Formats: sequence, C-alpha cells, structure tokens
Amino acid sequence: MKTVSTIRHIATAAIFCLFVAFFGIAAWLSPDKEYSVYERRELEQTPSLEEAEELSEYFTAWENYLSDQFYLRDELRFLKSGFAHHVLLQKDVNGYYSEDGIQAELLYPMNTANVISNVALLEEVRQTYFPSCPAYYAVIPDKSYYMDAPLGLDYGEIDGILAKELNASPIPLRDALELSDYYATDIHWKQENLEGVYEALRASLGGDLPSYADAGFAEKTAGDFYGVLYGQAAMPADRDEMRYLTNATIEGLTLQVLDTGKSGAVYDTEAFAGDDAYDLYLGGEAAILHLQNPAADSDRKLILFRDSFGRSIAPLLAQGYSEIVLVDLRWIRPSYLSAFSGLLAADENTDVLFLYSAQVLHSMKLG
Amino acid sequence: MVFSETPFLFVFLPILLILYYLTPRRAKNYLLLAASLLFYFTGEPRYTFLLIASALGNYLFALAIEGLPRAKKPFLILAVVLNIGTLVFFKFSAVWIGGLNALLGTSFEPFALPLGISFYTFQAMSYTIDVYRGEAKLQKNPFAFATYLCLFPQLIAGPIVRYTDVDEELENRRHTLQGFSEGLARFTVGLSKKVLLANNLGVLCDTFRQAEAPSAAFGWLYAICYALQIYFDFSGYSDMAIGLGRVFGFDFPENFDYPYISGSITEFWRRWHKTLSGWFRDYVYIPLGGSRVSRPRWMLNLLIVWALTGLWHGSGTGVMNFVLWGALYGVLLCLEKLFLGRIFAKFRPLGHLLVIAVTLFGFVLFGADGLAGTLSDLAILFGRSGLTDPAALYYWRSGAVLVLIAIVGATPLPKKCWDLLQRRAEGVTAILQPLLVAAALAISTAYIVDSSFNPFLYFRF
Repeated sequence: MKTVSTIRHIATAAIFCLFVAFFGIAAWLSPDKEYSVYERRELEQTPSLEEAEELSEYFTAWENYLSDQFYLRDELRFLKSGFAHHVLLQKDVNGYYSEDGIQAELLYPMNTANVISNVALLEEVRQTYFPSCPAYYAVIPDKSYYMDAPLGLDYGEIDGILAKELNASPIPLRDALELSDYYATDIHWKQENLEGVYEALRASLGGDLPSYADAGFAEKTAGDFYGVLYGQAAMPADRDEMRYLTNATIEGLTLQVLDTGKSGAVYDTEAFAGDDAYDLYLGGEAAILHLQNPAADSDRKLILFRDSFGRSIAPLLAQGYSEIVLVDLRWIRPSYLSAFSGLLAADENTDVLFLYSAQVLHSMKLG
Repeated sequence: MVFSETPFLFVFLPILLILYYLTPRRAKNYLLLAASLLFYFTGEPRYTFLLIASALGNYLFALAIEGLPRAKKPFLILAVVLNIGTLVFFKFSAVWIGGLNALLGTSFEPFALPLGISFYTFQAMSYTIDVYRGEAKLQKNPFAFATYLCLFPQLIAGPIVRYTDVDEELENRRHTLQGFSEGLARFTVGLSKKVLLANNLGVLCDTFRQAEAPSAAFGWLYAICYALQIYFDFSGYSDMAIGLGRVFGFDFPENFDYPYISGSITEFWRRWHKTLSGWFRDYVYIPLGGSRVSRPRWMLNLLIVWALTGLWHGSGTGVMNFVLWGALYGVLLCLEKLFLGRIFAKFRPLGHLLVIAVTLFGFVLFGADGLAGTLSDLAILFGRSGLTDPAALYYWRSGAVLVLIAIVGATPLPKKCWDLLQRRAEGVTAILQPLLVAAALAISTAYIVDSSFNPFLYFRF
C-alpha cells in the first residue's frame, strides 16, 4: 500500500513539475510573435521599464506579455472553448457560439447608444455633403438573425432609430438573405449569394443596373479559408470556400485606393492569402476607394458609405454606374471628407447609399 | 502577481521551487522571505515598505513586551492602536479624505488599499497579542518573524495564519515527498476552483450587471452564482495557499469546511473563513467576556464582533453594506442563541434553508453598489422588472451545468467519493490523481491564457 501511495505522490509531483517546467522553458525559448491572426490583434511585446509610468504598470505589462506570448496559446484557447462547450455545455464562450458548425457572435445586449450615435453621424454626413441627392440606407443583418439565436440585436429598434433620424429611403434586406448566404467561420456574406440583395438594391437605386440574370456573372474560386470568427471563437470548424463573381464589366473596372494613391485590384488574390481572406474584395480596408467603370452606358455615380460588406457588393453594383466612391467612416472622420470634395461631388445623377451591417452600427462608433 | 497568472505559475513558482530545494536548510527562510517580498513587490510595489514596516514594528513591539514586563500593557496598546490605525487609515481613506475635501474644498485622492493589508495586519497582531499573553514564544530573529508575516502563500488573501500555527515549522520543518505531492495536488484543486468555477460564475454575474432591466429570474441566477463565486474564489485561494504551504513544509490551518451545508448560522461561521472567525473569537469576543456574561451583554458582544467582521471586509465609501452584512449575521446569531438554535437542532433542514437564504441575500448586500444598489438588486429579485426575460432564460440554460457542478462541488460529496475510491481501489487513484492534476492544470492554463487580468475578489479586503 505504501508503494502505491509513493507512486501516486511521485507521479503527481512529476506531472505538476514537468507541466510548469515545460511551459516555463518554452516561454523563454519560443520566439515572440508580433501579431495573432486568430485573434486579429497585436500581441504584447517585452515590456520596457522606461515606457511604464508606474512599476505596477510594468508588472502588469509582464503578465499580459507572458499570456500573449504563451507557448501553444492558440491551441490552449481551443482547449478552453472545447471544455466550455462540451463539458460545461455553455451556449457561448467569450460571446461566440456555434450551431451546426456555423459560428456567430452573441450581440447582446445591444449598444443602443452606439446605434443612435452612428445614425446621427450618417445623417450629419448626408446633410453636410449630399443635402439634395437621393439617399438610401440598408442594414445588413448579422448572421445570428437567421440562426434562431435567443439573444441578439433588436432590429425593430434599429429600424425605428434609422427611420426617425436618417433622412433617406430604406431598402429592406432581411428577407433577401438567409443563413447560407453567410460564411460559416466569418461574419461576412458570400458575394456569390447576393442575388436577392442585388435585386433589392436594383429595385430602389437609380442606377441602370441590369437584372442579376442579365449581368451574366461567372463564379470563380479564390480558395479555402478560415474566417475571423474561427480564431475568435476558437472552435473547430470546416474551412469556408471563397468565391467571387466576374464578368466583362467587372474585369474592366479600375480601382484607386485614395489612402495610398495607388491603384488596386478588384479581386486581390494576394490579399486573400493574407491575414483576412475577405480582403480579396477590393484589396482590404481603406477609407476611400474609387471604382470606375469605363464600360458604363450612363454617367451615374454612386457614393457608397459602407463597412467591409460593401467591398464585395460594390463590383456588382458597378454594372449600373460609371463610378462608385466607397467611403468607410471607420477609417475617416466626416470632417476630413471635404478634402475629397471633387471625388464626392454630387448632382442629380448621384445616388448616396448608406450600407452598414447591424453589427458595425452596434459595436463601434463611426467617425 | 497572483497564483492564477502565468508569471506566477510558469516563472516564479518553478524557479523558487528549484532554488528552495537546492538551498541549505538554514538559508531556506531567507530565500522564502526574499521571494515573498518580491512576490508582494510585483503586485504592490508602492506599499512594500508598509509590509516591511509592519513586520519590523510588530517584531520590536513583541521584543519590548517581553523585555519590559512592567511596560508590556502600554506597548501592547500602542501596537494594537498602530496596527488598527494603519488599517483604518487605508481602508477608509475614501471616507475621511472625502470628508476632508468637503470641509476644505480640496480634491485629494484617497489612498489605494494596500494588497492584503487586512490579512497581514491581523496576523501581525495575533503574534504581538500572543506574546503579551504568554501564549507565543518570542521570536528573536527578525528575519524569521518577517518570513512568517510575509510568507507569500498566505500573505495577501489568507488563511489568517497565527504565529503559533507555524512557529515550530519556522525553525524546523520537514520536507517530505508526501507533503510536496499533496501540496501540489491541493494547489491544483484550488487553482481549478478559482479559474474554472469562480471565474466562470463571475462571467454570469457580469452579464447580470450588464443587463439593462434584468428580470427576477436573472436576479436569482446572479444571487446563486455570486454566492458560489465568492465561495470558490476564496476557498480556491485558501486551497492554493495551504497547498503551497505544504510544498514548503508548512501546515497552514484550514479555512473552509463546506459552509453551504450548514444547519445554522453558527455552524456556517464555523465552516466559513474559519481563521477570521477564530481570530475574532480569540482576540475580541472572549476578551469582551464571550458568553460568560449577562444575556444582554452577551448579545452586545456578538453584535460588536459581527459589526467588526463586516467592517473588516469593507473599505472605502461602500463600507455600510459590509457593516450591515456583518450586523445581519450578528442579529441572526443572537436569535439563534436565544431560541432559533433549539428549533434548528430539531429541524436541521429548516436551519439549512435559513443559511442558504441568508447567504444569498447577504451576498447580494455584499456585492451591491452601496445601499441604493442593494435596494435595487433586492427589488430585481422580487420582480421589479418582470419575472423572466429572454436573456435570463438563455443564461440559465447556458450556465446550468456550471451552476450544478458548483453546487455539488460546494458539498463534501466529491471528496467523499474520492476518499472512498482511495480506500477501495488505491491503485486506481495512483493513476487517476496524476491524470486529473494534468488535466486540471491544462484546462486551467487554457483559461488563464485566454483571459485578461482577473484579480481575486478577496485581495482588497
């Protein structure tokens, strides 16, 4: 009996010591990473005493640094999610959940203050720069709207705020989408599934958009990818496949990135291979993009205030416009738009569309 | 630095263990003292001097009490006044500086509460008082005394270890494989209680706090989770402290004994934060006369002790909540002594129900933001914002298994099962225990790595 208890003591002590020693040594030996693709954020680097205002701040920075640079950090995050989902049977972990392999973020409680503030900002932009243009707005539901999620954004309230505060015509999109129109591991919609959205916009906007069927879009495959939710939720899932639509008009489009002054590709396959596969569309995030359609029959122009969802539908909408100016108010303050007065010049041939995902309206303050 | 963070687990602890077991016996205390001061310094650099001053001051007072018998009472009074004065100075600085600002029109900032001051001050006082009473041997070596007071396992969140609990081990302690292994296993249990149970329960509590108009169902989920969170947070920390103590050759007193199974309030306080109740019993209640006085005086003694217990937990401007919390227990204990105790002795489930109800409401008071916040929380429990709402139902469903595990974990059932297994199939536990330790360490580490800084609830008391 004594032997058995001795074995137990030796094994317990050995396991504990090996565990802390292994991760302790690995922490010293493994090279620091600068960025976490899974978490989409910069990781803490070796703290500097000079940069800390107080000693306690310096020690806290060490704690954050060691956690961020922890060996097998991503694998351990998956272990945590697995334990929470399969042992504790939690519905969500860190606000992320998965239903039949489809991952989503729990957007609850709704940040009504952000929605009100963002809608007020859009109205301010409309009044300042486009007081006499036909203006439209459309809200892209987050995918949990279609997932039978017990908690989520209050779309009735969002509709109410928009109808009251934004002087523009609504274009309802909720019935034009379904769950399969979104990637399983990403928050975004699939460009190749936007027929309903395209038709809803076509019915309202003034551009000479051909019907979806007449546009003759052809599908191409960019490749497999894991979306932003995969790393955030840290739950196993199958890879998504990203496709894109093209036709002669789209192939003739030119793109200028005003942030850099350089031209870009409508479908940037190099960007697809980067940290965020959705950067395939128009090359990724930028404050102002200028998409020109040399093959356009008319001189109609679309000013598209948008978030990342807008990058994938813009090439499709370009069928009916000679140019589209895409403005992302997450990256530029409205007051700075005056520096682009030429580009944003609007007349009766200009449509203004505010196309935002409900998730962005809720989760951040634009401008 | 706290036990449930990567710097402690994967840097401080392994390095210290290696150094400790390589260090000759006579130098081990010096190493522990240096490590303890470093441990404290990384968490509270500004107030490390206060800890050293407390160690030095109480060492000198005890020396004076022992060396100058005729002046020992004034020295004791001075020691107690300085200890309590320092504690009050920091604990209630928001109150007195607020008053000062109102009076003078100034805008001085209150002092931050030094980490663990309530714990180490009470430990230091126990030594000085015990030397005065002749119940503790004078420690002539200031470094040995400082090692006792600053010993990092119990320094910042207890248990409140009295000098007499460890005086012999300070001089001469045994380091055994059994102690080392059982200490590490106990530490792992505590770590899991803190990281896997308390923190997850805390997440549910946070969702309640973030809800705009939570329903009664949400309120009760919060009340249950908060009571369990406090228990697992604090008892988890005590387990880690006791476990680390064993690793370094010390036997610290137990601090919890399944308080939620108690059949009366009296029993609850024999099982909850035992070292604090024991401290108040020996250094306040009994000197006041305890129960060997007239009945009204006895009741007054109880009320004084429990008001002080509440005060000990409180700090800043929210202190009234803690005083009321303590007073609530004081009044209930008085009622138990007068007549309730006899009823509970006959109908234990009735007493158990009272314990659960009082604990739930008591911790709502404990966790609320001031008295207005308490009234608001209580109104929620009684349906001010409706009986249920979708968020409440969601979080009840999402947290059901966690709450169930926590409730079972708060009873002796898991330990009884383990003990039974050990008796019936020791060979199985020889394999199972290391595996469970490995699994618990891996999952706890996964949670620690994924979480941001999350301090223990009891650090600021």
